[in-house]
Amino acid sequence: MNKTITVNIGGMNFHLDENAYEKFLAYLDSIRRSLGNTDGRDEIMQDVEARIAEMLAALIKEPNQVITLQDVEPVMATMGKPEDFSAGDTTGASSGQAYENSAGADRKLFRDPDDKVLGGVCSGVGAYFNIDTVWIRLLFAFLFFGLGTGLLFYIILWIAIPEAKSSADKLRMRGRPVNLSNIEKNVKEEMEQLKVRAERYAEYGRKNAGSVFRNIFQGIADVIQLILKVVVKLFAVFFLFIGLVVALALFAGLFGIVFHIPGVSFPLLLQSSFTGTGAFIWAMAGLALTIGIPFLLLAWAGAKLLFNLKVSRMVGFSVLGLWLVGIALLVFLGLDALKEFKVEESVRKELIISATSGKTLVLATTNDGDLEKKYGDQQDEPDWDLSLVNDRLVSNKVKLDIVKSPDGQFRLIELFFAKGSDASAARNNATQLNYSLLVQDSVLELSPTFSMDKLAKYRNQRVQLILQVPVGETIFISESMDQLLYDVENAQNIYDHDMVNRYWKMTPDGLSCLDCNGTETAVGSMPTDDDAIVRIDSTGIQVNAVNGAVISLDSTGINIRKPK
Amino acid sequence: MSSNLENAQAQMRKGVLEFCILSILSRNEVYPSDIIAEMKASRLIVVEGTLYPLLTRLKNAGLLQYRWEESKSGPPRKYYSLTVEGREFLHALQLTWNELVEAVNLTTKSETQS
Repeated sequence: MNKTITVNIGGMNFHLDENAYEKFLAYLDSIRRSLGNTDGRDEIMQDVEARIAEMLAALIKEPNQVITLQDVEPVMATMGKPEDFSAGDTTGASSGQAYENSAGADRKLFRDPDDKVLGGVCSGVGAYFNIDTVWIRLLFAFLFFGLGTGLLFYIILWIAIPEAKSSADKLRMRGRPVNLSNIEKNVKEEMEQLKVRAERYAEYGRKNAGSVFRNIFQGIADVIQLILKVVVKLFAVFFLFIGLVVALALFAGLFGIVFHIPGVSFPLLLQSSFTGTGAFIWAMAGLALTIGIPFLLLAWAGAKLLFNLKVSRMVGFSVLGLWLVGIALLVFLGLDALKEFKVEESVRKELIISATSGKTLVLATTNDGDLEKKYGDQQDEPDWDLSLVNDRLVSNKVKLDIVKSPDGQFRLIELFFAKGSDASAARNNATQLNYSLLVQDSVLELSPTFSMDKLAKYRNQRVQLILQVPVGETIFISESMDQLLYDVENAQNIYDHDMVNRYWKMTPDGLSCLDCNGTETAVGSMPTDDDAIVRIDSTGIQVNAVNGAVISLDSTGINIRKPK
Repeated sequence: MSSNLENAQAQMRKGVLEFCILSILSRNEVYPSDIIAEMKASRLIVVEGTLYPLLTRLKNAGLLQYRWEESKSGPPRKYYSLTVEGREFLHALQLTWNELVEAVNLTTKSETQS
């Protein structure tokens, strides 16, 4: 149910319901504003009120009848829109008309401090395009929740658009020409509106003095407002901190590369991917701008919230421009670098290993001294990496496959792959690779890395080794080979990782393990939650638990070994 | 275009509004709603709001006077009538109007002929 408010209109008392009352007061407000500072405004308002009172009185059929919104609306229609009140006024320079016509002419984009949720961006944009602010706010809310970009966009606008501080700003925000009389009018309007509102609320307060609910709600609203303010400040501190730290780190990094400050290093891989050092530095600058500026803006927004800093539009737009330049740089140089990766070519070398017939060929890696280091923090090491060793670029993208020999000979095929902008460039890049191996008696030592010139560019160079083993011959794969083996097929389907430290014989079915004991992880085995390993292969099913218990099902039947 | 047209029409109407109101008042003493009724019939004014500022301004210029009359159904009403000055003003306007009509007729006719 609506509350009823008793008001005095034109010397008569009426009972209006709350909606009708609000609407009616707003209507009178806007008429007063439309009249501006016309001579005899108060008299006109009295006449208008008297006429309205008369029309309302005609509606009253019984004493204490409540006037509703439906009653008020036809009365307002008869009286006309607020603009109509100045329509007949020839000397008043038809302010209503001028207001309408000049709208959009001299308009400037401002943030509206009188109608804001955060920074008044939406209301300012709404005023600029003459759209209800609600729609702009909904759009931003949608962008924020829907795509996540709304917040960033809002913050950028917040910084870029100046706040309408003076009356002149507020006039230009709504598109009225800036001249002395309009500024004066705007100020007067504001004062008037303030006064009327204050009076209205005072009256409302008197009439609803006993309304406990209203006081409670007001209290709750105040508390919520306070909490929101605190939250906003906290966010501001957070924005400021995160934004500054990230932006500073990025720009410091850029500074570091440009001036070759020792200790500042970037992944070699990234650096040598670009066509030149210059391109790399520019791309990094682009990256720093692209990522850094939003964070800088974030910091800026935080500072604004905290200290009420003012940022001029010029600064805002230049920052926005820099950001776009950063993106453009990144895209351009990125595409330029990508062009160098268009074609892949390979160069092939073959080596026949003859000295070993009859003996077991031992596969091992060179630089065994580095082994401990290599295995020490294997977890953290990326699958492949580029590093600078002894003034050469070194890559560990070397893989080995072991297959059946088509004839009776041990043979090692080396394939050097590289990319380039065209086939000849790619082949040229591939020939630059330097790979070392050593055959000593029956030991084949393979390097886990290959190297190239310090100034060579990264073009996805890699080495693929293929060892051909004749049927009937045996090889031993030493432990260090783990890093080279890649997807080597074998009769037992054992994973590369578990193929090392074993003797293997080449059979017509492929490599076959000679000394495997069934604890190896095979393709098709399933690690379970309890760290037991379930292995299923042609021999049967075997479950190995961590505590040493083994359950197996094979041609001998079901065997259960208790835990140790 | 259409806003220009509306503007021109509004300006024209405004010019004759005062003249018409004074003419209505010259016949007898009237209450604003009566003026509205008559003007609505001729479609010069469609809402009452336009009238009140105009009446106040004419009164302040000394062309109109009013007296209060108690009303059974509402607040006391203002009944407006012309002052002596108002009558002279209306007379002058009448002459100007006649001249204007003649001038406009002449101009628009000669334009359609050529």
